[in-house]
Order: sequence, then C-alpha cells, then structure tokens
Amino acid sequence: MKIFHTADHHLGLRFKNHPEASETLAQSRYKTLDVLVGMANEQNADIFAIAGDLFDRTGMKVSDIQRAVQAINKFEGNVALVLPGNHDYITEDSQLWDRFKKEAGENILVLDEKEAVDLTEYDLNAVVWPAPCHAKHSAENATGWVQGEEKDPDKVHIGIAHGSIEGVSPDFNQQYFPMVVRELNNTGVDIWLMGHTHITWPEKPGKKDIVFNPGTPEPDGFDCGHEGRAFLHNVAEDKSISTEILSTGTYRFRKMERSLNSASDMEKLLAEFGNENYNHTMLKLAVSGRLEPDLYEQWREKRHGIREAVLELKLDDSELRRKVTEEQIRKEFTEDSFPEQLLSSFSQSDEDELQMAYELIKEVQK
Amino acid sequence: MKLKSIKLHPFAGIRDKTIDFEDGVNVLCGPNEAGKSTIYHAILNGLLTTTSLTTTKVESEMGRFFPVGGGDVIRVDIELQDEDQKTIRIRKAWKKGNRQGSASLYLADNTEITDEEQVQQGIEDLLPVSAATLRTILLADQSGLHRTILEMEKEDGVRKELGDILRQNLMETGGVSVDRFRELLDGRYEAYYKRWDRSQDYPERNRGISNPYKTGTGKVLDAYYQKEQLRLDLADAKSFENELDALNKELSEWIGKQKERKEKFDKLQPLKKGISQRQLLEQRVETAKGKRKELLEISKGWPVMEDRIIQLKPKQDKLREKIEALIKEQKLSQNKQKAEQLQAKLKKLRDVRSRVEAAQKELKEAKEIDFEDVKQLRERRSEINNLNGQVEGARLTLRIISDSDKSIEFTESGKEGEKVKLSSGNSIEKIATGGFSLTIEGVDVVVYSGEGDLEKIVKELSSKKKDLQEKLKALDVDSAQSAESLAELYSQKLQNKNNEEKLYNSELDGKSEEDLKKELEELGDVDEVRSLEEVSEEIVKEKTELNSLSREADEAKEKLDKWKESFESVDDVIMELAEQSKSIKDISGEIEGLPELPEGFTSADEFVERVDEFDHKIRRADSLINEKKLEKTSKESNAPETSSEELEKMMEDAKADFERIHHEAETLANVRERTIELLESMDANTYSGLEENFLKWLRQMVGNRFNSVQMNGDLPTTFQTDDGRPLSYEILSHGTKDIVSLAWRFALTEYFLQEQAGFIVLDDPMVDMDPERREMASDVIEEFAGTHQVLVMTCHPEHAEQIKKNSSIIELF
Repeated sequence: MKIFHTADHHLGLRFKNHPEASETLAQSRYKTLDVLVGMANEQNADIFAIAGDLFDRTGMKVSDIQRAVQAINKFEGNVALVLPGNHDYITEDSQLWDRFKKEAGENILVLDEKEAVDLTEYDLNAVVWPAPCHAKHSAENATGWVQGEEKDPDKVHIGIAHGSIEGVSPDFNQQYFPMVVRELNNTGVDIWLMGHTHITWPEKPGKKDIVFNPGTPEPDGFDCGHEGRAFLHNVAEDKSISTEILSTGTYRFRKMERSLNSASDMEKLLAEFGNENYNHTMLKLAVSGRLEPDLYEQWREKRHGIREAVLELKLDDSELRRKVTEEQIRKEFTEDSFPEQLLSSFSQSDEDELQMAYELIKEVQK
Repeated sequence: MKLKSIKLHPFAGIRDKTIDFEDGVNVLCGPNEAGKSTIYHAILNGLLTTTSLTTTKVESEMGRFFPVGGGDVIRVDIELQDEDQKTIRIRKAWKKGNRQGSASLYLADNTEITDEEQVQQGIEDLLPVSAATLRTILLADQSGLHRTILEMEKEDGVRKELGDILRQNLMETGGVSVDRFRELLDGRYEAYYKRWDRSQDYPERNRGISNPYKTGTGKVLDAYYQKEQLRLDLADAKSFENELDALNKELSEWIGKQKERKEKFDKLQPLKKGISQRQLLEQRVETAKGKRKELLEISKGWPVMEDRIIQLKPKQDKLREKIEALIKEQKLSQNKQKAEQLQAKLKKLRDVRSRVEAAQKELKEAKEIDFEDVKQLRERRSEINNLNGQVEGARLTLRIISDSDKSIEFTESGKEGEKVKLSSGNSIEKIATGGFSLTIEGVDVVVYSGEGDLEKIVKELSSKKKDLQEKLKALDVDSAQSAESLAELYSQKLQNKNNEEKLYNSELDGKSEEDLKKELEELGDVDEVRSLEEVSEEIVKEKTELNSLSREADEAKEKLDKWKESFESVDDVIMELAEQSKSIKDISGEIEGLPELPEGFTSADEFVERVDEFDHKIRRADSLINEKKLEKTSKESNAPETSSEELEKMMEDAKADFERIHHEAETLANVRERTIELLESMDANTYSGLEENFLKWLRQMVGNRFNSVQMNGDLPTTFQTDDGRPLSYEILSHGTKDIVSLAWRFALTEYFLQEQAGFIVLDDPMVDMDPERREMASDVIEEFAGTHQVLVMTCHPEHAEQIKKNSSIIELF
C-alpha cells in the first residue's frame, strides 16, 4: 500500500511580512498542491493523505476552497484523506469544511471525527484512526482515544494527526495538541501520518520508525530553510514501512551569512548571484567584514544586483564596514582640519560612530 | 623636501618633457588649461596617486590624462631633493586595465622599491605633510579660500567676519563644510529623533502606542510605533484566536449535547401517545380492580352482617338486665355509705363533747383575775417606784454619841422604828433615806432631807405601799407579776373552752346528737351490702361491653343499609362482580398491545413530562446555538486580517528594525555630540599662532591700506580702513581678496610645514591685483621663497616677468 503523505500546505497564507513576494508565494502554494497530486498519481499512490493545515485559516474564500478541492479531486488513487489541522480546525458548524465536503469528489474523505474509518469501501484493507483538531489552540492530545480501541490484526492501521511533537517540533509547546513519539508508538497503530511541524522528521526514516512528519511541501518562512518535502510510504504485507522523501515546492527561504574583506570576497558573492539561479529564493543575507572605502562604495553600488537576482532580499549589511584607519584619514583629510580631527577622535570601540561620521563627511564633501 | 624635476612622457597633452626646478621661485608660464594644469596634475598624481588601480579607477582618476591621440600608458618621473641635498627618484606609469601600472622609488641611498603599495607608502612617508594636506594646502590648484567664501555666501547669506571665515577655511580644507556637516547631522538627528524623548528612551510626552503622534514623527518613533502596533495586533490576534477557540468549544459542546438530546428525544417521542393511553387504561383496570374488590367484600360481608345482628341481640338483652340489677344494688350501697358517715360523725361528736367538758372544768378551777386588776397593780407599783426613787435620792448618815447608857428609838422615814441601845462613850452610825425620826428620852427628833415636801412624799409612798399590799391580798396573790401570769392563764383557758364549744356546735350543724342517732337507725342494717365502688365499677364494665356490642350491631346494620341502597340483594352484587371481572380482562388485553414505560421512568406522567421537557430543552438549545453561531459569525467577520503566527514573525522583524534604527540613531547622536564638542574646542584655541603669520604677510602686501585689524582673541574680526570704516571680507575688492588669499596660503603653509623645507604651488595669484599691489605681492612671494620652494603658474607673461625677479621663466607650450 502506497501512501503519499503531505501536510501544512497553508493555502491562503498571505505573507504580509514579505510584501514584495507575497502574491507570488501565496499563489505558489496552490500550484504546489497540484504538483503533489500529480506526483502521487505518477507514483501510483493508493492514499493521498493531508495531515492537517491544508488551509491557513478557517475563513477561506469559496473560490479558494474550490481550487483546493479541484486539485485533490484529480488524485487517481483509492482515497484522499484530509485531516483538519489547527489552522483549518473543524467545528460542528464549520463553513470551511461544509463547503469543502460539498465540493469534494467521492474519493475524498474529510476526517472530521475521532472515530475509526474502515477503508474497505475504498478497496483498501486498512483502518484510519484520525485525530482532527477542533480549535487553533488546545492542550489536548487528540490521539488519546486511539490506544484503547480494539484493532483488527489483519488490517493496516493508519493514524493521522496534527500537532506539535515533543523533541521534534522546534516550537514545541503545550497549546498545539501536544504529542509524544513514545506514546504514539504504543497506540497499536502501524503508521502515524503527522502534520504541523514544518520540518521533515525523521530526517532519515529508519526501519523501526512509524511516526512520520513530512514538513511543509512549500516553505513559508526563514524558520523553514530547507526545501519543500513530502513522504511516500510503502507499507508492505508484513506492515513494514519504507519511506521515500520527495522534494516538492518551488520556493526556498534561505539565510546566508557572508564576510567580505577583499575585492575578491565581494566579487565572489556578487558572482554567485549573477551565475546561480536564485529567482525562486527568498534571501535573508547578513554581510559583515571590512572593505577599503572604495570597495565599500562599490558594494553599495552593486549590491542591488543581488536583490534583482532573488525573489525577495532581506539584506543586513550593517556589519559590513569601511576600513577607516588612521592612515586612511591622514591620506584623505588635511591635518587639523575638522574632518581629520573628528574622525581621529573616535577610538576602536566607536567603530559604528567612525563609520557613520565618515559616511556623513563624505556626503558633505561630495 | 623640494621638487627637483618632473618628466612627463607622455602625460595629458605633453608627449615628453622634463622640467627642472630651482630653489626659490619658479615661474611657469603658459596658456590656460594647456600646460600649467598638466604640470600641476603631473606633480599631484606623481606624488599621491598609486599606480595600482582597478580598471574603473584608472578610468575615473587618470582617464583624462591619457593622450587624446591614443596610447594606453602615461608616465611621470619626479625627482625630489631632501634636506641633505640627496635625490630621491619616483617613476610611475599608469596603464589602462586592471592594476596594470608600475612604479619605482629610488631612495636617497639608491635603494629601489617596486611594489606599488610600498612605493606609494614610501613617497607619503617622505613628504613633509600628510597626503591630504599636500593636496589641499600646498598644491591647491586654485584658491580654496576663495571657493569656501563663495560657497558660504551662497549658502546662508550670513555675514561672517573675516576671522571666522579664515578659521573655517582651515577647518574645512578638503571641502568639508562644517556648517553643512552640522546641518546634515541636525537634519538626520531630527529625522531620527523627532518626537522621541532620548533621555527617557520613550516617545515624547509619554505618548506611547495608545496615544500616538500622527504626524511629524522621526524614524525611531516610527519604528517604535510599528513594533508596538504589531505587538498590540499580535495580542489582539491571539486573544481573538483564543476567544474563537473558546466559542467553538462551547458551540461544539452545545451541538454535541443537542445531538444526544435529539437522538434520545427521537426515541422517546413516538412512545408518548401509547404510553399515555396505557396509563389511562391501566388506571381503568386499577379502578375496575378496586371495584371488583369492593364487590367481593360486599358479597362476602352481606350474610355475615345479617348473622351478626341476629347473634348480638340476646347478648345485649342479658347485659341490660344485669345492669338494671346492679343499679338497684348501687342504691343500697349508697345507704351503707351514708350510715358509715353518720357513725363516724357521732364518734367525733362524742370526742369533742368530752373535750368541752374538760375545758369548762379547767376554767372553773382557775383563779379568775382580770386584766383590769393587773393594770391597777402595775400602775400602783409604778407610782411606788417613782416615789421610792425620789426618797432614795436623799440619803442621810446619822452618828449618835452618848455620854451614858441610853435607849433610843430610831425610825427611818416610811419604815418601822427600831430600839437602839447606846452605851457610854460609844457611837452609833445609822443611814436613813429621805428622813428619819429619833426618840430620845421623850424627845422626838424628826429629820427630813431637803425642804418640807419629802415628808409628804414619804407619806404618800407609805400609803401607796399599803394600798398595793391590800390589793394583792384582795386578789390573793403575792405579787403583781404573779397576778399577771394568772390572768394570762385564765384567759387561755377561757379561750380553749370557747373553741371546743364552737367545734362541737359546728359538727352538729344545727342538729342534735339524738337526731343523728335517729337518722342512723332509720338506715337499717347495711352490713351485708357491697361497697359503692365495687358496684359502680361493675356497672361501668357491663355498660362498656354493652356499648361495644351495640356499636358492632350498629355498624353491621349501617353496612347493610348502605349496601341495600345500591343493591337489592346479595345476588345483585355477585352479578356486578362478574361484569367487572370481564371488563378487567378486556382492558388488560388492550394494554398488552401498547408500549411499555422505558426504564428510568416511574410513571407515564413522568415520562410525558420528561419528553415534553426534552422538547422544550431542545427548542431552547436550538435558539441558543443559533445565537452562538451568530456571535461566532459576527466575531469571524471581525477577524484580524493576519494570523498570530504571521504577526509574530512580523513583530520579530519590526523589533529588529527598531533595534537597528535605534542603534543607528544613537550612533548618529554620538557623532553629533562629538562634533559639537570638537567644534567648541576648535573654536577656542586650535589655530593659535596662525593669524599672526597671516597678518604679517597681509601687512606686507597692503602697506597702510588698513589702519588696524580688530582682534577677537587670536583671530582678526574686522579690518578697519583709513577713515575708520569696518571693512569685512565681502566688501574687499577682488584684488584685495587675492592678497588676503595669498597671505592665508603663506600662513597655512608655514603652519603645516613648521621648520621643514617644502614647496607650494600658486596658480595665477595676482590676476585681479593692480600693478602696485602686484609689485608688493611679488616681493612677498620672493621673500617667502627664501624659505620654501614656490612654483607659480600663470598665463600672464607680464605677471611672470614681475614675479621672476632673478630667476628665469619656464615657458610651457
């Protein structure tokens, strides 16, 4: 049995903190969903499982819900399982999920109840044990009910849940449906399809692993610097699991730190963005180092090249400084003149002040 | 350090030319822009520009010096002479392309250096002043002073005094206007800190995000508001999300409960009619059963009651007879009781009578003294006591002495006289009260104490005593006390007798003992009769039994009477009974087809009530759920645009922005503070000594043109003309301005070179001077050239002639 496992699409995410790229990034998430369904079809997956947060919020536009459902409707396998996560949580009167179900095809199953779902009617010898979220925040472990239930040993038991996992989620916190791997391992379920944490876990799935968190298929922030990912689980007759990590998504959020201390450093950095393809990258670039004043000016002139090469640049080059030495000052300014005296008055510890004074003097001098 | 020669091969328009310089004045004469500025730039770059330049730098810095007609290399060789007259040679070549140039430095000891960086460093080390000073003071291509002044006049229109201008000129050599710098700083400072209170590190007037400034804010405050606004937005978003969670939870619970309720209701509701009917029929069965039971009782009781009435009749009669006999016996018992009472009374009368007789006898035997007698006796004795007291108060002592034996009679008044025998020579002493009499040999001597009344009192006393004695005798008592107690005794006995008599009479109650005895006899012999109690008790017992039987009979009769009201006979009852049994059977059959009361209910009423209650609860919950849904919808329609997760990221960014801007602003503030401090200290005393030289050179060139120069501290403020008018720099003529400029250049050159030998380039210094001033100026240049090498460049041959003095003119072409 092949399970294509994804989570945390966050359709409808607005990317307000990335004003330049927000529209592109928002749209790319829908495209990624299309791509994932296509991949699942190519891989002949039996199940397409979305372990929560397909949507970023419950108040979605109808047209956006339709767009998502239309993408999933294209899944050609036996059944698509869609679990409400903490962002698209289910309530008794959920307009989001009511609309979703209305639009959904016959082989889309919204897992909105904590009750076992037998997949026999989808020609699968499996039972799904869902742990849907009913709120954005909750200290409840929604999988708690699964352990006590009787399980037919002849069937494959698939748990599907959404929430933070102790020791796995970087922002593990008790208000996001907290879970513990050890407890999940003891629920009598053969495989747990998890969602919520945007990073992939385990990084290298082993034979004994049964709890899987694919991470988001389309990264959504600098705290999620890896590529987008999904899992393809192959559950054998003996219920052993082999898992393949699939690269998905278009955009990357990268953090880079560079130190520029010479013309070649600078040229290398500029060349990197001149040559390599970064136009799908959101870049947070921190540049530090010391450059000769003329090189520094060059940097100021040429750094926009990086901005043009990437989708969005958040550049912090406040730690990149002109090399303003005593010698330099003597070379440039008449002895005893005001600029010479002002610049010479700053000590090593006043480097920021020296830089700023130099820059201002240069501005006046021009 | 002096310039010895320069070779350009090629450089700008010059293909190959070597110029040798002498000590003192060197006049270079040539057309404007053609030759003289080329030489100037060759010197400047030969000394100060490295040959290690990037492609772009070669272009920007040296590009204009490449030959117009072609060629990608320019070269300048310079020879310098140091203090010890040793020659130092510099060779520089700049080529187009990246760092394609080359340079050599041959030091005084012929050491050769070819590393371009080191060559440049070596040259700069050899120079008497820093590179910048060389460029801006010694090799100034035109009057920096002039330019500064023009700029200043253009910019602020402030009439500055000459001294300030000179001082500022030095401060600003290199083209950095202090005022513009200050303006820039202030502008930036303002741009950062508008409406920000730096001392509190908080918005001015404590106007935080709750009451923000809308306009006129600086970058720091903007960033602060941005960050704070996001913080508020985040708090709002979080609280919105939590509230929505809570509302959803509540709603879920309500809807969940409602679902359960409806399921239960849907199960119960259809039973309601059947169960109501069942209840009705069950009630009818119960009623019928009750009726049947009643009929059964009647049918059984009817003959029993009839029989009972018959059975009871003789018993009742017998009891009635017995009670009649007992009532007769009761009358006899009453006589017996009366006789016993009479006997007792008679016995008591006998006793009282005997006590009356005894009392009478005792009275008769007692001495009769009445209380009037006792009273008289008491009075008499009281009078005696009184008189006695008066007499006793007069005591007399009498001593009788006789000279012979004699017999005398002595009588104390009121007492019996006594015979007293007196013997010769002896004396007798007597004591008398009140008075006494003494009879001696026929002579009576009567003596009374006091005046004559006492005798009367003694007599009265005597008479009273006698009277008392007579009274006591008459009463046959020995004392008044005894008379009193006897009187008391008599009175008691009399009382006793009267009491007993009264008792006796009261017992008789108007009858006599004979009457009573007669009454007793009339009652006859009652010895054999039972006591009244015994008889009465038996009567009560029998009557009670009779009552009980009567009641039993009455009840039976009553029942029968009642039954007879409904039924004519017991047969009727039995028929009715059969009907009821049938009816019960029929209804029970009907009940069997109806639903049973579910568990947990004790009655159909309770069931119906609960189902109705359910219905009511469901309706109420439905409306409440709708209200909650509306509340949720309205809440969701006011949802914050951005989720808390996104806001959190945005807030982190805004925080970082604020930190960065705040840091920048603080850095700027520090620069500004440092600038202000520096300018204050520079104003005070930085350039002392400079102006003296300036005035020295100036005076030499203007002669007596200015009477005096007003000084402010070390610096001149105003020049005064002959007629006493203050002359500020602006109103000096152009020629005079040139002189001021020249004097200032000399003063500055001396200031920087100090004792060292050096060189200075003057670019057409006398253009606007009149011939007289030119003469004086050329004298001054010659004098200055005595210490420092001077290169004068001019495009005016006549100026060249005037300046050259003893030297020759270097013709440029």
